[in-house]
Amino acid sequence: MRRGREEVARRRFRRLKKELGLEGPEAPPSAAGPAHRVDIVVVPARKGYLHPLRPADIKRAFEFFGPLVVYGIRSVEMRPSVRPSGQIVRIARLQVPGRVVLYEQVQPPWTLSDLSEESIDRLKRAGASVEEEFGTARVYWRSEALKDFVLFEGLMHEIGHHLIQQHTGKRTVRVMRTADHENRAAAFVDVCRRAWTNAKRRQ
Amino acid sequence: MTRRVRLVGDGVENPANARALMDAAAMFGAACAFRDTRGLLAAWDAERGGELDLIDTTNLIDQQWPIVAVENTLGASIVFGATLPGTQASIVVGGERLGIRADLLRAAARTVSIPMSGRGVNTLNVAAAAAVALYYLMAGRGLAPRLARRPEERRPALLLSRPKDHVEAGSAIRSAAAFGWRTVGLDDSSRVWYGVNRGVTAEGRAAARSHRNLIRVLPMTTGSNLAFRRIVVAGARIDGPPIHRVNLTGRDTLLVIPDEGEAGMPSFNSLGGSVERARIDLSVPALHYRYRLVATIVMAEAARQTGLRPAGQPRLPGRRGLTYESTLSTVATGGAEEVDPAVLKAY
Repeated sequence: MRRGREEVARRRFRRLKKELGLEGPEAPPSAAGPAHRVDIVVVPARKGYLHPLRPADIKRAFEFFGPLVVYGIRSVEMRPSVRPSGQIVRIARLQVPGRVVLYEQVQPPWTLSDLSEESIDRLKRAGASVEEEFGTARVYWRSEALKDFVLFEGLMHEIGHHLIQQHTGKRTVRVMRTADHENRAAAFVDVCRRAWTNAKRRQ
Repeated sequence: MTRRVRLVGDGVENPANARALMDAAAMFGAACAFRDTRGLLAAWDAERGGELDLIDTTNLIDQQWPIVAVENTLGASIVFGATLPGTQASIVVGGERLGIRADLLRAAARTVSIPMSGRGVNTLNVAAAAAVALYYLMAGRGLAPRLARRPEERRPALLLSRPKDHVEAGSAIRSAAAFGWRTVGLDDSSRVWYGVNRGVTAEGRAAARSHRNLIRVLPMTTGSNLAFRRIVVAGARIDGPPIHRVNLTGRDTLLVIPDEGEAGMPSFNSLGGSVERARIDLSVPALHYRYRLVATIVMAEAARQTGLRPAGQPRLPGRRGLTYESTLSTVATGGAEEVDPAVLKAY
């Protein structure tokens, strides 16, 4: 039963990528066009924190990726973060169905302890320079890099989760194992980032 | 005062449920009839045969027999404190899927509901619901439900002891979940639940609504010594005071519901703690015993004594719904043990 559902999800996800023209590294996003209306809510960041993305950045990204990607997204909210124990940096959250919360981030440079190797790789991939010493990492950001980090590892990652839910028709029921869900969302971020980078290069 | 009651199943589809409804009515000395709107008669003839009393809408909506509808609708009064509207009445229960039809609900002199706090499963088997309604309405004790801020803290542990039929066991487990138990012990000495063939397993789990029933069923043995201060054994044939006069609540209390079929009952003295007994009053307990019916009545009484949360008080916080979160993870530090490098080198 579960395998069947996952197969359907995988097929729809492949079809979606094809429709978006995100299959190859050179392909432009074919479904670009005006997105449907998404509410963007901004709660100002606290002192010492910032929202790396502005509403205009989000709108630009939505226009670039087009309505197929943002269909079903109800709101994108920029909010303060309450740090839970065991998780040091919260980037974004998807509340199914269709509500994405982007958390405010500490003003760089960040000083983080006990980061996993995977997290350090994610930061470096996003363009941060990371200095490690005795289990403590000091993370330096250029403003564009931090913006891209939140755009892809936050917003687009959560949209990846959203699309999996949305395109299986099971909008409030978990349609696959969490690890598989995360892997698919990460794969979606990769193709989006590739298309975005290629488009920037062409400009 | 002699009360005359007839139990009416409205739109019941499953012949097995119809048979259980007839047994529930017989346990209380009531007549039983069916308004057949969903092909019960055809299924009955095909599967079991025999006599089935049918009633049409005109005869059912009769001023002489005011209707008491058992349905969880807005404005329904709680069954625990309800009484019959007169000396005779029709108690109507709805079918498995659609409940009581609107025309009967409109014609009902009184609507009563059985309060349930279960998550996942929040309905009873139709015969079990009828048994609970008959028990409280016919006794007419007007037992008011207790209000409690934290009923969970007063809920006793529950042991279903030696059910002899897998469907009866499954239905009792469903009732336990509907009344809010999250864990139930099962003494499966009669081998109806664990290690049985696939057909029996499927029927039992279907009766328990296991596809959405979140309850945990733990195998327990009636002979084992358990750490409970009080053991209350409750049933229809048990020699003891009426169940509503026995305290069934408390975290240190184990409520045992044995199957009182033909075979002898085990001794409960070996469970540890002081053993008390409680009896539910049935009109004809010897003739028409069904485990699910007796067990559900006992559970309903325990739920009444445990208490209902006052209206308007928010429920305990539940799951927030489906969420996904993107975070930077840390290396796991919990459970690690610091080691002096010198010790490590020596090792």
